[in-house]
Amino acid sequence: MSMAESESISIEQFKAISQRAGLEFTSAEMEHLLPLYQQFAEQLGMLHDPALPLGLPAVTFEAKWDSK
Amino acid sequence: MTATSSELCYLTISQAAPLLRERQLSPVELTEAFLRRITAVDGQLRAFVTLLPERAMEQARQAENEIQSGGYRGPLHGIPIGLKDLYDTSGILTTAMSRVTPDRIPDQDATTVAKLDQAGTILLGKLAMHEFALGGADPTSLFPPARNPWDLERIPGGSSSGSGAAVAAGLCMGALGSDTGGSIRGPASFCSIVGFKATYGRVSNFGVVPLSWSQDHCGPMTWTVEDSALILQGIAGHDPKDPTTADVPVPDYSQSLVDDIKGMKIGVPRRYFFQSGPDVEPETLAAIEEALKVMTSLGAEVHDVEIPHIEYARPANQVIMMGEAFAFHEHNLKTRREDYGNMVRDRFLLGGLTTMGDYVQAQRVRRLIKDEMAQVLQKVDVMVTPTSPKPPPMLEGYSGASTLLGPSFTGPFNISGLPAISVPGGFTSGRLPIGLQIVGRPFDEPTMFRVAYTYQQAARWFEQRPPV
Repeated sequence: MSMAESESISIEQFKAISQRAGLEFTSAEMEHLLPLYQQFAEQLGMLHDPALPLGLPAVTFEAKWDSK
Repeated sequence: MTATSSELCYLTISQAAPLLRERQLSPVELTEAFLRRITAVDGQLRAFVTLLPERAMEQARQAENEIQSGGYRGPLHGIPIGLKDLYDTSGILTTAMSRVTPDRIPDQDATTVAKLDQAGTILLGKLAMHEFALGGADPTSLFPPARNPWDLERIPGGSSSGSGAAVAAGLCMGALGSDTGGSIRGPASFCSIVGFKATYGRVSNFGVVPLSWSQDHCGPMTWTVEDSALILQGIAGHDPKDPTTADVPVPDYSQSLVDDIKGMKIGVPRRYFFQSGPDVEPETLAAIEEALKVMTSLGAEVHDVEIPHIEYARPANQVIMMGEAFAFHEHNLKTRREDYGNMVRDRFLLGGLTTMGDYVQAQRVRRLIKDEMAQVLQKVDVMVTPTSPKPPPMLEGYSGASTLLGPSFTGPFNISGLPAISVPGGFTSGRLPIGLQIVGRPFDEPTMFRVAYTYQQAARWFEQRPPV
C-alpha cells in the first residue's frame, strides 16, 4: 500500500505499516504519530497524481568507471 | 586601531580584511572583542553550544604573528567565525544538537572546515541548530533552542539557527550553515542576514553530518553579499573525498560584485510564491513587490514566469529528505529512539513509513520540476521570490508540524540543486525581518552575486542591526 493511499487508516492498519518498516511502536507512540502521518499522507498523495506528465526516466544510473 | 568592542564586532569581513592586512587591526584585538561580546550577549541568544576561547586566542596570536612577518594569507586571515554544530571539527565536540551524539569528537575536519582553517580563519565555537538539521526549535534537544536577536521571544529560523542568530547579533563575522530544504536561507531571512546555498556539487559535504545526501548543501551565512562571496571563495571546489562535488572551475567571485543590473532579466514565478493565503503574510509579499520595483528602477527587466508543477516540489523535497534521513538514522531509531528530541524523531519516523513508491515518485517529480526550472532560466537570468512565507514565529507554542505541512519557498531549489541566496528585503510593521530570495542558473553564482549586491547597495537594509 502506498502511503498516499492511507486516508483514514485505523490504528491496526498503522501498526501493520509500521511493522513492515521494522518499527515497533507503543500504543502511546502510535496515537501520537497517526494524526501526523495522516496529514503528511495528504501531501504525499500529490506525488501519485496520475495527471503528472512524468514521461522521462527519473532514477538514472550513469556508470563512470575509471578505465585505468 | 581605536574602536569599541561593538564597533569591531559590527565590521564586515570585507571591511576588516584590509585593516588586518595593513596591520591597522590586530586579529588578537578582534577576537577578544568577539569573545567579550559573546560573554555579554549569548546568555540571551543561546547561539553558541561550544565556545572555544583558548583555542581562538591561540589561532589569533598565530594569525597576528604570520601577518606581522609578511605571511598574510588572504581576506579570511584573522577573521573570527562560527560553525553549525554538524561540521566535523578535529578534536572538538560535534553533537548535531542531539542526545544521540552528545560526546562525539571527530578525528578529522570536514573539508570546508579544513579549507577555512587553511585560509586563516579563527574558530570561535560551534553553533546551535535544529537537532540533526530537522524538526524545529525543540526544547527536548541536547541544548536549548537559539533565539532571534530581533525579538528574543521568536525563533531565528532553522535549522542553522545559531548561525543566523550569531551573525545577526555580531557574535561572529560569518558562519557556515547547511541547507536541505531552506536551512541556510530561512534563518538568513528571519535574522536579516545573507545566506547562500550554492549549486549542488559546488561545495563539499564531506565531514558534515548528513540529513539528505541528495539535497544537502553547505554554505556561508554573513552580514553582506560581499562577505558571502569571500567565504564561498574559500570553501568552493571539487573534493575527491565527496563524490557529489562537481569538477567545475571556481571563478573569482569578487569580480561579480558589480553594482549594475541594467538590462538583466528577472523572472517572477507569481503562482505559488506570490499567492496570498492563510500561510502567507501580506507584508512579506508587499516587501518583495517593493524590492522588484527597486530592481526595475535600477534598469532590470521584470518578467512573470511559470513553473507549471511547482506545488509538487514541497512533498518531493520532504519525502526524499525524510526517506534518506531514515536510512541514515534507522539503526538508532530502532534501538535508542528515546535519545532523539521529540520533533526530529517524529519526522524521521515518518520517513521510515514512506514507501518505495513514494520515494520513486518524488524522484520523478524532482526531474520534472528541474526541467521546468531549466526552461524558465533560458528566458531570464535569475528568479526572485520571497524566502519565507511569513516572518519568524514565536518560540512559545512553536510546533514542528508547521514546517512539515506549510508551504516552502526554499525547498524547491534543493530538489533542483539550483543556487539560491537570501538577502535582507525589509521589515514588517512590527520590525521583523523579511528575506528576498534570488535563484540562479546552475554554477552561475556570479550572476546571483551581481544581482544580490546591486539590490543590497540600493536597499541598504544591511545598515540596520538588531537591538541586542
